[in-house]
Order: sequence, then C-alpha cells, then structure tokens
Amino acid sequence: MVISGLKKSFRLLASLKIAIPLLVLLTAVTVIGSLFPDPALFSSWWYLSLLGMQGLSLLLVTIQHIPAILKKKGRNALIGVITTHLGILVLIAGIIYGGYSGFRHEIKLIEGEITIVPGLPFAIRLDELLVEEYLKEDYPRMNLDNLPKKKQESHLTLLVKGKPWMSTIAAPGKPAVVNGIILLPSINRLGWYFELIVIDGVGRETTIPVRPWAPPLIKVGGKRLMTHSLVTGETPEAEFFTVDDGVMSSVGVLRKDQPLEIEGSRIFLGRINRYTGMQVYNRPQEPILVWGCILMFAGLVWHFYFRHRDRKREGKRDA
Amino acid sequence: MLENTELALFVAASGLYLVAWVWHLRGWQQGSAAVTGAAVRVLWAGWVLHVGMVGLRWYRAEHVPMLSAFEFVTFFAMLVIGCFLLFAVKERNRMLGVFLVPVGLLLMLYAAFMSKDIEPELSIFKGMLLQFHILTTLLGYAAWAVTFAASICYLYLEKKEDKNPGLFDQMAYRAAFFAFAFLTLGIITGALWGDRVFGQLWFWDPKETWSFITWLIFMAYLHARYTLEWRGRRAAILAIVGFAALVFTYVGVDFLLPQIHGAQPGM
Repeated sequence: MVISGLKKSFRLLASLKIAIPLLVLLTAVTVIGSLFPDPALFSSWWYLSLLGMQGLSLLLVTIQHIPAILKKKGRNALIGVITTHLGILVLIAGIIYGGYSGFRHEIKLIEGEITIVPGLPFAIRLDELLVEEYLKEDYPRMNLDNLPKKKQESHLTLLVKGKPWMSTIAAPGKPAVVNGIILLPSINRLGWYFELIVIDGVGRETTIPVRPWAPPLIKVGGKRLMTHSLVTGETPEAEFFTVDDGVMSSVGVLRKDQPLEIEGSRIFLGRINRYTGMQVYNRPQEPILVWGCILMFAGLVWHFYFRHRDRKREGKRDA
Repeated sequence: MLENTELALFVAASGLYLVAWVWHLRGWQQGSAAVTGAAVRVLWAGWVLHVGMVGLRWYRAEHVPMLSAFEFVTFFAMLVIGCFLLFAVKERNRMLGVFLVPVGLLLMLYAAFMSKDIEPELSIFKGMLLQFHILTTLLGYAAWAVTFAASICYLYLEKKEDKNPGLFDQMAYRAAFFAFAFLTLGIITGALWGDRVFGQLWFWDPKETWSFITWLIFMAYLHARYTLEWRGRRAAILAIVGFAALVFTYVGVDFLLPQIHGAQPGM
C-alpha cells in the first residue's frame, strides 16, 4: 500500500505534466513577487518549497529518463541534456547546503583597534583605512554620497595569540581571503569613530567613545545629550542634541578647536579615527556551485554540438 | 574634436541603419533580392561606423565602453546588428532584417536621448568579471532578439501560407539555445561579481528577479520545444513573450520598480 503510494507519487512528480506547470507557477509567483518592494517573499517557506519542488521534479524526471536515454540512438546529445540538468541540480543542492552551513559576521573595525570575532582563528586589527573620494567634476550628474569611494583600502593585520601573524589588504571587489575566510569591507558602512573628553564643573575628566552605529547617551549636568556623527571638513565638528521628552533638539556644535560648554561642563573633541563595516564569512558551498555551473554549461555545449551533428547526418531538423 | 567625431559616427551609423531598414522593407515588399542585398551592404557600412564609434569611445573613456547607460545601449545595438549580419551571409535569411534591424535602430534612438558624457570608471567596476557579466548578458539578449525576429518572420510567413516558414522556426530555436547559454553565464558571473563587491550572491533586486524570470521563460521555451514538441506558432508566441520579458527586464524595471542594480537606467 505504502510502496504503491510512493510509486504513484514518484511517477506523478517525475512526469512532465507536473514539471512544466510547476515551472509556469514558479515564473508567475516570481513575477508577482517582483512587484513588492520587500524581497522577503523570496525567502518565505512556500517560495522555497516551490523551488524545492521544482528541483525534486527535475531530479526525478532526470532519473526516470536516464535508462531510456542511454539505450537511445543519438544518445550523445541526450547525455548533454542529462548533464545540464544534473548541473542545475548540483546548483540547487549547493544553494540549499549554503543556507545551512558556513558562518557570517558583520563587524565594525576601528583604525588602530583589535576586533575579536567569535569562532575565528585570528583577531583582526585595522591598521589603516585609506579612503579617497570622487570629485564632483568626475560625476557632475550624480550624488557623490550614493557613490562608492574612489579608493577604499583596509590595511589589516591578523593576530594569533596576540601576535601579528599576517598582513593583508581588503577592498570592496577585492576581499582578503585567508584560509577560506573572506574579509570584505562594506561599501557604505564607513565613517568616523571619535572620543569626547568631558570636564565637569569640579575638574573631573571623563573620556566617552562615540561609535556612530551605537551612539551613547551622555549625562552632562541635568541634561541627557547625544551626538552620532562627525562631519569632517577643514575642521571636524559634531552636533549635540538633547533627547529629553523624546524629541531631539540641537544644543550646539563641538569643533576641534572650540569646546562646547553645557551646564558648567566643557566638552572637547578627543581621538578621531576612521571605521569600516566588514563582512567576515565563508562559503563552504562554493566548490559545489562552481561544479554545478561547469556541468550545466558543458552539458549545454555538448548537447548543442551533438544534436546539431546528429540531425545533420540524419537530414532532419532540430527540435 | 574626438567627441564630435564620435557623435558624427553615432549619427551616421543610425542614419545608415534607418536607410537599410527602409530598403529591407522595400526589398521584402517587392520580393527583390537585389534591393535586400543593397540593404545589407548599407547595413554593413553603418555597422563599420558603429564599431568605429564604440572603438573611439573605448579609446576616449579608457575603459571598456559598456559601463554608462549610453555605452551599454550602443554596445547592445552593435551586437544586435552584428548578429543579423552574421545570419545575412545567407541570402535566404535576410528577411530577418525587416524585424531585427528596427530593434537595433530603436536602441540607437533610445541611446540618442541619453547623456553621452564620459565618466571615470567606478573603482568597483574594475576587473574582468563585471565586463564578462555584461558581455555575456548582452550576447544572450542579442541572441534572443534574433529568436524574436525569426519568430515574427515565421508567424508572417505562416499567415501568408508560405512554403517554407520552418527555416525561421529553426533559426529561432538555434538562437534561443545560444541566448539561454549566454544569459545563464551572464547571471552566474553577475552573481559572482555581486558576491565580491557586496558579499552576497543574490539580492532579489527587481533587475535580478526579472533576469531570473526571463531565464525561466527561455528555459520554458527550450523545454516546450524539446519535450512538449511545440513547433511553429506556439513556440513563436512563447518567443515573443520571452522578448517582452527581456525588454521589461532591460527597460521597464528601471522606470517602474525601485532597484539597486546598475548606476543609471538602461544598464
């Protein structure tokens, strides 16, 4: 009973009557999905199930046709078809495997500081971040804020047990790859890390680090203040806001050469360094994807060559 | 000076394409192989100027001329006309020009409205992978333009009860095969480039999603022919649907759906 049911399911899924409508359904759903701005739909369980069903159907159709194809005349061309489908299956397998394996961390690196990433065999120190911006005359019609930098090089030292192990440079488009671990700087997550030196009315000095991705609340006198970014020009400056009553309102601008005085306390600008966002990840599925692509493309070329040759010999037309 | 020469070449090539198309139409209406042959020669002249324009652009820009929207569109037009000239070597295929030359001509018209300024190559655009991605994708698009034009030829000849519309049905299939192979390579190399720059193979950005949809339609076309034995009319209609998807991926997405792909519309 169970075996007969399985056989029926196999035959149904291995039939082109299912494979083609599934392909049409997948196309239609993808079209509808593209109209929504949020791509979350494409990672929903039912869309992935649809992709999985398509893959399964492809696998079963391929398995079912292999014996017949191997007996057929002109099988060379059909071997190409099988190879192409196997390539697609390997690709799907690689994508699924990639979804469940490997790791990915999104970190921030500050110039001169060491960052430890959990599970990584080395710590990362950003020695220097070289950034060069495009000029307005390079792209007169574009908003420069939306463009990647002309140069964005992260000079890194990797440390093992606190000692320098190796030096490398990473840039967008040219990630550093160390023992299969990829270090890729982010194009748009870079800016300035800075420190504030607060001297209160009785002369006590406090240093407060400001990480723009997590700006601290600073208590000065009775006021709660916040500053989140440093504007660098000829003179670096940071604007301060009060955050009382849930409303942000400006209380002044701190400049490198001009401290800000609030309720008897003076705030100075201390150390300034660049920071960059960086993706640290690996791709254990990469060889699978590469082989999937090779199989798929080789199968296509193989099929086209033999199909064309065989048909010509037989004096028939192509499909 | 060089800028004006480039513009002159662009205008001259477009003008010759227009003349060639009009002659193609005349040759087709009159059934005159001589007029069609002359149209092909004019088209060759236009294409040589077009190649010269692209070469000059390459020299002036100091990067492969496929990166700005204008460069991308004119390069695409060059490939479309080049594909036709390849088929036009055989006289019996030349009817294809009636429907394929206007595709190239429309692309040139589209490019005419774009900024022709040369901008420096963005640092992330440097490297062979992106160039390979653009080239293979454009070759895939150009090959499908052949499938589209051949399908229209087929439908027309079938309506006229011509003896041999099957020639164009065959041509459509063969071109579709190349289109599928090149678009596959284009999508894969694009994903690899995205991974190197953004750390992610696929974003489901509308351009990517529509490339995937177009790829699915190309795949459906090949499977429909191969397994469902669709020939002639049904296959031709599916090819036209594929071309509509391609045009939407290429142009429609830029104007109708917000996206991150490409620096400017038309890429």
